[in-house]
Amino acid sequence: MILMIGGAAQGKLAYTLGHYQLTSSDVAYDFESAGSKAVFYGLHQAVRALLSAGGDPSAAMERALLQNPGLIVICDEVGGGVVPIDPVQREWREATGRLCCTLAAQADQVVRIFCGLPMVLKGGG
Amino acid sequence: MLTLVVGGSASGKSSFAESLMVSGDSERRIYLATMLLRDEECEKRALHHREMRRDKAFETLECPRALERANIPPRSSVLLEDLSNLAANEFFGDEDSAGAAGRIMSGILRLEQLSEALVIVSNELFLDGMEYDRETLDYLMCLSALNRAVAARADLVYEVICGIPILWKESAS
Repeated sequence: MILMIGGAAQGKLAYTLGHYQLTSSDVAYDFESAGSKAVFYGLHQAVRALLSAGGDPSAAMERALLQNPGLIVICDEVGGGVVPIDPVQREWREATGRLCCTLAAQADQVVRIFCGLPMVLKGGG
Repeated sequence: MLTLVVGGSASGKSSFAESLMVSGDSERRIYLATMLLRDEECEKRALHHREMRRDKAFETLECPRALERANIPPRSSVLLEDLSNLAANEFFGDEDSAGAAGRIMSGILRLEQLSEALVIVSNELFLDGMEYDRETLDYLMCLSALNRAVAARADLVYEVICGIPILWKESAS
């Protein structure tokens, strides 16, 4: 598994599709289809959707990775602002951040995208 | 020679960008100031930045909008500070907001031609996980598109954290 992180609108998806020569048909946007596509885009949004439906994002992520161990996961970094007053927002940021830490620990490679540029944080080559 | 310097607020990005300018050997150093001086707080900030630049022999040129018409003397190095301000002034100004990024980008291309060295300072506004209203979101998309477009052209790209520059790109040339 490869984890791609970065702030919002940094060009993460464009970089990933270009770098791995994939197209938009290779991209999943939810945990279910992440089991069968090359790229899982917008993990932070999928976490939000699943939390609001009462689901467990880390269990869902684990299931997807069991089916698809070579998945490329793309997630926004969302923890760089003032802690929100709204508990739902707090829970979402917490869940997203913790899940990214877990994924980064498991990942073969972690890449951070900044202004469209990649920096390998773990697992070079 | 094009350099992009990006950082959060009060990250030390300005001082770092200025230090890049001082090491060059152009005849003149032009500081393109982008802040609209609307009130006392703005004036104070501008004064603080002007004070910081005093010993570095910069000529200050106010350019809150219409970068494509900025009047740059020949053989000068230019520091544009900053892209997020300029983008906000263009985006929320009188001209159409959809064309803001295009207008600024053509201004940047022109500056690249006219100057010996161009350093552009921009802001990190993309890590807070906030959901903004449509207009703010569109502004953020405008700024991030500019950041990416400048980064793609730049010879050097730095992210500044606590005054420490992290080199993201160094072109081979």
